[in-house]
Amino acid sequence: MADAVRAHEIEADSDDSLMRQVCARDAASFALVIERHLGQLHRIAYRMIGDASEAEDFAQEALLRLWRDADRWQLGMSGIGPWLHRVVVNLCLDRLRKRRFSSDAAVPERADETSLAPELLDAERQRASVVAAIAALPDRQRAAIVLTYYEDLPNQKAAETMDMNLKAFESLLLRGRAALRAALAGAPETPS
Amino acid sequence: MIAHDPLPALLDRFDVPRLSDGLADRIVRAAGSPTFDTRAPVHRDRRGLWRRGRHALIGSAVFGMLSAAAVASGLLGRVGIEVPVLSAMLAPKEPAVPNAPVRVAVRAKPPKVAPEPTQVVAPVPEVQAMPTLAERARLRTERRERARAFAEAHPRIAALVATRVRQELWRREAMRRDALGLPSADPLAEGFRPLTPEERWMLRAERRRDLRRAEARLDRRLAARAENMAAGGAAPNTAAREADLPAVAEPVAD
Repeated sequence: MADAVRAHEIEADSDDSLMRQVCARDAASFALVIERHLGQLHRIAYRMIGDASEAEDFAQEALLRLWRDADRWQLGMSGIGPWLHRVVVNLCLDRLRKRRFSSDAAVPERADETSLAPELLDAERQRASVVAAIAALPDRQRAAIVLTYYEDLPNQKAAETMDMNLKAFESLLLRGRAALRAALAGAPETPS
Repeated sequence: MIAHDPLPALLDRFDVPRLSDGLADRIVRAAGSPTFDTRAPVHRDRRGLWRRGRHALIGSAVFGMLSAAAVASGLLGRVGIEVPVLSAMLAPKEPAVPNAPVRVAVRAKPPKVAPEPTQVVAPVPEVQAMPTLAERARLRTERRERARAFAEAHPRIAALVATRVRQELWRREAMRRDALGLPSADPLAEGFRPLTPEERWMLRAERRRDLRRAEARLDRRLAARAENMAAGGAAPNTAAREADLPAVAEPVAD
């Protein structure tokens, strides 16, 4: 437990020192921030909106906002990661308010004739059913599932990211899980 | 024994595509670029930009087609778009009647006479046959020449007229679409979508109907004027003419 607290402090210290450098317009430090967070931001955005290109745009926008607002960074805040999560989740929710989830999965031009095609097709079907089930969730339930299940954030952190209290967040998460279970009830399980 | 929960295994199917190569470098470069305004809101929605650009493009194309259709079909002169004051200046001049006595304007107050009883005229069918193609081509050429001469003589007024005509065409198009339950022509309006071929056909038929109604009104008006002139009376006064024609802002009713 003590180790976990210490690790958190080190990470927080590290974030603060990084932000001092970013505030001084140090490109190398900013590149380090990008290296640490870009992948996760992209994953969150992609699973929220279903469009890889837009997900990259939102990840980029969140990082550039961090660069832009670095001089307003307050030392001892929860860290760079939670700040970026909040920005990217809000960007996605704003975007979903304007336009619904839309997958940009490419449609093959012709049937794949390799021997693995049936297996691949099954896997693709399973993926499509999961994507559809997540797309059918209300926006905030989807955000809760993405943050806790896919990104392994603790409920408390995910609730802070979504600007909610813990109870309300847990209720949202429960509803999201129930809706997903209902939607995926008939879906085939992952082949072992 | 803990029951096996299939949900995590299923959710794992939703994988994420790889990031574009060099995205991190591009972000660093964008941040370090001298053109990056640290105070300006960051916006990188390429699709949004394309969508807005596409809307503007479609809007321009629709506008261009409407204008071209208006000019080609002679709508400017025939639909009866009345631009206050200016329409009188643009109105075609009546050809001189041979051997007609020269009429001198008299400023003296006319003697008071009892008003003539209102003549009841049998209603004329609204929709009449269109002029022949040759007649329409001749009229169109005449109109163009007249408009060109006017624009050369009064460029500012001509530009104003053109603007108001465009506005009126947009207004009537919006009314037609509204009456037919079609989406707005404005690509930025809520619920905008391209028309289906059937809807385009309906809209075109509605435009033709409007055009025929306007031409019928114009023909009635010209016939009444010619009849009046032949009978030796003065041209119908403005009030009578206004009563005969619907106001510009009025929708064309069936």
